[in-house]
Amino acid sequence: MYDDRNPVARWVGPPVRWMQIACGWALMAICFATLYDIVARRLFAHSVQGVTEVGAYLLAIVSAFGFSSALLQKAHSRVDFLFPRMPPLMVSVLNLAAAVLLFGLAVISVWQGWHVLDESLLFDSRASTPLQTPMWIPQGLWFIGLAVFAGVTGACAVHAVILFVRDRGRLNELYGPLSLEGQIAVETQGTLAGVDKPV
Amino acid sequence: MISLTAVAIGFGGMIVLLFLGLHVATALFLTAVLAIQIYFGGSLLSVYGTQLWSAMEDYILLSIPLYILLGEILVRSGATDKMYGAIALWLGRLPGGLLHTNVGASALFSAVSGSSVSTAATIATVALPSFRRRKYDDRLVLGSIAAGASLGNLIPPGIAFIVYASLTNTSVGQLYAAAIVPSIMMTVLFMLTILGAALVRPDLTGEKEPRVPLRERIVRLVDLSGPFVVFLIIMGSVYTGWATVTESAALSVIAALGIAAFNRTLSIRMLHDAFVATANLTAITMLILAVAFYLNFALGSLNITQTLGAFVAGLGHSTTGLMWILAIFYFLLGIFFETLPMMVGTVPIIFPIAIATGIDPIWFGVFMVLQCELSLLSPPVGMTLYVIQAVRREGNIKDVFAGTIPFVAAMVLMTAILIHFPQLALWIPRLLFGPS
Repeated sequence: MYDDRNPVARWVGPPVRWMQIACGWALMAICFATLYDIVARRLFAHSVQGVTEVGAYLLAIVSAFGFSSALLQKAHSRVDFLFPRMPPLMVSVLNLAAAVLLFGLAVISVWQGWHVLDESLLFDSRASTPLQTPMWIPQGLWFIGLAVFAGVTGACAVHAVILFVRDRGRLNELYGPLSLEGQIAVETQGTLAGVDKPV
Repeated sequence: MISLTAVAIGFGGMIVLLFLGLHVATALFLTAVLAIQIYFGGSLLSVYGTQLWSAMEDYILLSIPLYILLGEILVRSGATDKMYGAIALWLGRLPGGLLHTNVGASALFSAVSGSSVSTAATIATVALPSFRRRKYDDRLVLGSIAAGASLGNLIPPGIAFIVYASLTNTSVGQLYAAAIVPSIMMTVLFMLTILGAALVRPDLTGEKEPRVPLRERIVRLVDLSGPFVVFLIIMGSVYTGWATVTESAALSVIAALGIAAFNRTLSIRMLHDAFVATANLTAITMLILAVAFYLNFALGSLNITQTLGAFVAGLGHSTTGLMWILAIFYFLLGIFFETLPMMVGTVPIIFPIAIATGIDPIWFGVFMVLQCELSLLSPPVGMTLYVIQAVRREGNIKDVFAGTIPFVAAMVLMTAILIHFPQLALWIPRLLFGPS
């Protein structure tokens, strides 16, 4: 699914995919835990503690790890309506700006995210729930996801700057908004397999 | 309190940043940071981390990846083609024939899969070959698929309602209940559009379907059971109080696994593909949403609600008048924007205005999601339209655009009905949850 012409995607793509698969299994686990919890609640009037809490942490972690992969697929939303009506140089400037500013957002997120984690580590914070989860565990994983995102956006931003100087056409290819075919591929990844039998 | 001019400049600036093709999240974040820098000297930047963590660690929002996962598994499970065939047996003999099947099958499938784009892709793949043989007018075929697929977010359960609920602190359960009548009406309006077209211009529709014995039609209803069971699990468990919205999403994922196993399409490889797609689509939504919460917080700190409230009170518009202004605003915005940026970018400003005018937040949520659906369907920017064209692999995208026009008109009519009859949306929530 990644653009093989992009060196950043070539290097980072495979490990990021495995992180996502791990996240997917975690989501499945939460589904089965929820089923068990509901059955236990209705039939035995006893509740498994913490499914809700762990589920919430899981969302933060799954999303943070997903940021990088979505970026490598150029899937983060952009409004590209005006691009076909602009001169190529302006498009290059805007693509460069988008790459650099997204890196800025990722850096601020990871920097501020570190404060959150740091505080939890400093005060040894625990969730005020029956589980009393040490907050550094979910926040640590979330932070790693944000850090990977900052690393990947950073690599892309540097690459975009280099391409801006050397080869602006390639900059627009690799860091421009997703082409239509690409968008369709992201939104329907593989879903068309198995449905090509006419009625 | 922030002045009205400053709000207008800020909002206009954000729209410009969006049109410059920056990532939507970046544009929202820059707007928030700029506002905070100017009015608070940057001191509020330090809460961004806490805001980010609490926005992303939200159990209600966990339903987003779960619904996406449900859709990804269902779409891969091969349930679509059987379902299409079964619906065709029931609707195929109405004037307009298989066109009704497009709307019906797309509506049913996008309701459970939650994604208009995947629905458009799968239904187009299943349906287009059979239309080629039957000599229908291409444009109506394409338009009816796009129209049906665009219903996905309006028919509960949908992700758009979860996003709206979390941005505005409204109840997802109430929103789902409120959407029931309008989504049924919308589907009926689409079918009436086809019926009208078929009666006025019989040449647009193709050969009539052969009559199928009732017995066979009933037997084939089995093929509808999969998506129907998923729908029942979600709605049933929420409204009986057995499960919360997020829990019901988790249950539906397990049901989808069952459907895939039944269709012999369940495999580790299929699951892994579904996981990767889920993680990507979740990340796209969550990045924008997490930043939007921060923008919401920034605007809240600036007392923007009071500013906009005073402004709207000064205008002296009636509720209906304001809703019409908003409908036109969203129609224009929807020409260029997709669902999520449109909702997340405007709710922080528009919602306080609506509340200040005394508009019911649940009714407004249904209106908002209907406008998002309209934005999916209105050319030239709308992913579903391009996906259908991509599956078609012939002719011109302009055929798809032309085909959507009658359905866009039907949706505008639905907007008008909803604006003038809020009871349509509020009736069921009040029945279930009491007067708000």
